[in-house]
Amino acid sequence: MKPPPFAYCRPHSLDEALEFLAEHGDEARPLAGGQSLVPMLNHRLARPEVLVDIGAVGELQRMERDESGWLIGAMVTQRRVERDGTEGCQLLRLAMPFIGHRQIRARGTVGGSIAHADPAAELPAVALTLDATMVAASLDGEREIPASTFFAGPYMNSLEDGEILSHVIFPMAPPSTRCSFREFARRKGDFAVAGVAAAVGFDDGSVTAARLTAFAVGSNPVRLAAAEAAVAGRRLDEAALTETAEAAAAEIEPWEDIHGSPQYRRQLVAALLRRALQEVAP
Amino acid sequence: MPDTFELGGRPVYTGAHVTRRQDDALLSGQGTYVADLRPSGMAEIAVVRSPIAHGRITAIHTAAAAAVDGVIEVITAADLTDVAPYPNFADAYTQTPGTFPLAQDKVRYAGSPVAVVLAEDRYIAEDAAELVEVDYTELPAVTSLEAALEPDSPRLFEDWPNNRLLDLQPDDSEVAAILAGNRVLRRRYKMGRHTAMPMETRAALAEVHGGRLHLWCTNQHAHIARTTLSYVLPLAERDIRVVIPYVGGGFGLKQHLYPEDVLVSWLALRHDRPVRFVEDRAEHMIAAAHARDHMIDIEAAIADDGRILAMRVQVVQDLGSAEIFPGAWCPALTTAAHMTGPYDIRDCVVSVAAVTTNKTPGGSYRGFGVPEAVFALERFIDEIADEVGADRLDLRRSMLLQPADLPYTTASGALLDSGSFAESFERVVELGEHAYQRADARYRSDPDSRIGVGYAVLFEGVSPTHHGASAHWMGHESCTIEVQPDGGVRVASGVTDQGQGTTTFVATLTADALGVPMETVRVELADSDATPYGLGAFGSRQAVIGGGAILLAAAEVRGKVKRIAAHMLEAPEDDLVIEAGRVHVAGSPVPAVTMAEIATTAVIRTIDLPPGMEPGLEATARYEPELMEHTPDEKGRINANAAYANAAHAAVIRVDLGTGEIEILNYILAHDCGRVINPPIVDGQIWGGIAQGLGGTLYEDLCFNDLGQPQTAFMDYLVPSAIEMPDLVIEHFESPSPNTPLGMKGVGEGGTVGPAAAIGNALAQALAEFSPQIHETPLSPAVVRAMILDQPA
Repeated sequence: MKPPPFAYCRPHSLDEALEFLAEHGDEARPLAGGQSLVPMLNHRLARPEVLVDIGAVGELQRMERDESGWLIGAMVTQRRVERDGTEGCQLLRLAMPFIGHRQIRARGTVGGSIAHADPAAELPAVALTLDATMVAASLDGEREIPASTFFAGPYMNSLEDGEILSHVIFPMAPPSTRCSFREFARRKGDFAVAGVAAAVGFDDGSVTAARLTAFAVGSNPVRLAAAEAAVAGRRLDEAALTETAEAAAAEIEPWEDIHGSPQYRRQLVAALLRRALQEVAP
Repeated sequence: MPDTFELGGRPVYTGAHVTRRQDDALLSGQGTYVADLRPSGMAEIAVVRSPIAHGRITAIHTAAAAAVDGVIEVITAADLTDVAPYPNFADAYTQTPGTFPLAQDKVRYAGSPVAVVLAEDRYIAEDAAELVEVDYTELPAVTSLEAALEPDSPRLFEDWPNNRLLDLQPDDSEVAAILAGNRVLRRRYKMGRHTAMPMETRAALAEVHGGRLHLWCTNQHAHIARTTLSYVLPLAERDIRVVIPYVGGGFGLKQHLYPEDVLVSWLALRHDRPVRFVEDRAEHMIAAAHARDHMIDIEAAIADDGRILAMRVQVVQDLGSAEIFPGAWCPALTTAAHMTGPYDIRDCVVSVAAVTTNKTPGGSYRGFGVPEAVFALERFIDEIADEVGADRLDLRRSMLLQPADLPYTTASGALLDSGSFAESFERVVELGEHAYQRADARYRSDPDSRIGVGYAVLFEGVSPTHHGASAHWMGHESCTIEVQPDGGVRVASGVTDQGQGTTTFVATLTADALGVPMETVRVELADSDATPYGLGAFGSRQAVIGGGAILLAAAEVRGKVKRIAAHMLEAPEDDLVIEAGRVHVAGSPVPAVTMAEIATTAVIRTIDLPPGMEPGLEATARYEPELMEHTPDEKGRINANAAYANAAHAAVIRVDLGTGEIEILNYILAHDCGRVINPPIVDGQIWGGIAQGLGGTLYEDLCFNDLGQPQTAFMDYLVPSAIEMPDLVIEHFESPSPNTPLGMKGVGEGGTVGPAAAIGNALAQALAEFSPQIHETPLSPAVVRAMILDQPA
């Protein structure tokens, strides 16, 4: 568990980082908090020639709120988001404690987790649920990528060579939106066996718009379109809960690993979604 | 038992809350482990391991690796021309795997060592190891115990008639007759494969000093390691020194002398430079011993009220490839010896098979066959109760050994000379039922929750013979005590410390047995040059057997101290007492002579000794328990342990019907290890044991696919953390053994043994409405959820 040889550089500005990345192309990998990449290096699953440590790039440390939402720089640690809070963005706040352990969150970054696109990770699920915008920087300028197209398969994103995820914009939800974040992990801090995120708007007790996402059940987090349709316009009574949960279980195509079969993961998503909806019900 | 097993005076430290000696060093990061040792000129190895589970090696290409800058040498089995296979002293009743440090013709598990790269550091060694190419002809893999038992199963060892390394089929005619005339209930139980996950992985550093090999390693036995190395390497035992520095947990896994221990030694001798191996966690998952993986079939004749009249049991253990030393069949024998539990079941016959499969070799792990027996028997008793409509607690009461039944010899030959079987059970039931009522009231209105309480009551052989595992070493322990001229004490013993507090109990007993302040006692362990030959850590033995040796040596020294003091004080020897390092007449503290004055007289100013007395103030003693047997009688019965601890467990659980998760609401344990030396250490042993027992029951699972490929990486190997641990209620009973020093019994494993049974029984109650089939561990959420749906997981 020692990495193969690599070169290491630590730029101090975004432009400098982008120049390194442009110079080395696909032989370079940005190193953010290192909570996924370093183990992959040690297992020799990732073998970059050059590590570009972006920990000293000040532009990536922004964390600002305006009327449209929260702008969070790629190098902002998960722990900082958790500690400083993201007022008005309830789902993000609810999700943070599920990310690994506090020690991991102290190093792990928002941008690192989203760019790594682990199918079981929490932040990609939050980004997808809230329709967050990923902002990619390159020497040519900035490009906005919606969450719905950012994730391109397990551990894959749609950044191009020479691009780096510079920040993420999590939009504010309307005030009537109520959120729940639920995941089932074998131990506290483990990767989820299955999880759901819900942001549900209500008007006079009925659902106006439901944004429902399942994660750790496929290549990437997935919006539960059939479940969203099943719950739209309804009060969250017993029948609505059951039908929505069943719709979710039916529409996902989960994978199998030693912690559970596809069948088990469908049941988990149904149980978690049901509880999430109970939680947000007015 | 000699009457010298006494402390000699009023105990000051024994039974008191004495702080563990290493805590300051451990908590401040000052402990020196093998991985902290970096002698100048040290080289490191990386092991090339088989990626396949079963195959014939046709070629090994090492040239590319050998050409890497910084690589010193790349070796394969063919280079080890002066190395002998590990011995098998049990070949009268087992097949011999002929284990060699590197795979010779075949590989039999994924992870098997095939070649070694020696390089200037581990980074280079790993870079080069990637370049070693091995050509294999793959063979079909045997990946389960059931498959290994099939008559036409592929064989791991082609010169064996089958895959059964061990196959003991005792005469069962007497039990068969009872079964034939009664109602018979049959069940099959399985315990999954899991193992120790010590914070410190295995490590070994070999150096050569003046032609002698010095091996620093994580093994649990300095002397057994030395002797074994002398069998395998072309070295005289006098030319080997084994030292065990700080160890970050052994748990049985470090009982084995692994190939890497031999390989670094051989390479250090060959290149005359220090060579180190520090196992990484990925290697640990596939190359350090696995454990459990048992299947137990019980057939029992039962009375109308459910009482067990007779049992016929078959125990099968999956050994993996069995390429390990000492061999790992002994847990199955231990399972057999515990199949009747602390119940009056006089007719029980157990057949034992241990089979080879293409998986990582099984080995020793805390509990050592007992958790398997307790899980099977205690689940079985609950199932009998359900079957006949009896109360599961009353059914136990009707069979449990009562104080008047003791001493009691079990059907397997275990001599239960003392214990609190019924009392500890009743106490746990009292606490367990109360906790259950509270939990039930709290969750009754929650449609997603079900509550259950389960019990397990057990005895556990402690301080066993080593002969069952090795067919070679027996069961003694050793101790040398020397009082130095300044009155300070050096005590050297064959016991070893893996972090459990051995050093502390050695100092405790020595101080009390000599009547000296504990801070004047220096403890030397785990250095084969500095300590008398002892067997070290296994089977919860060290306090009992090591303690016996300390008491014997101390009694001899104490006698001489008193004889010298009597001469110096001109007082009758029998009137003297030793307290706080001073000897005086009982009841009158002045005049007194100090230990320093006595030792100075004994060692330096010998002119002042009583006429005719030999100089010196030291003694070496060895203790081998008289009642411990090493080989079975003609009926297979054996009292293989010096003592038997007992415990009762209760688990109150909540099952989440939506996820299948088991939450432990209360865990209650009543434990009896006889005389307690250090209460916090005893509690610590129980906490740690419970953690490992819970791990194997709920979380930990070493899975293999049909090709024999290991499926569980460390990320998926779910060792319970502090967050997963429930709060424990621990109740102590003290039933001193009349046959052990101070009445001590071992405490190292009792916590590990009960959780699977208690939780399994709690789950059966919680899910009673679903009629769950609870016959296997681990009880993962997916498995439990399938019980709720009655669908496959």
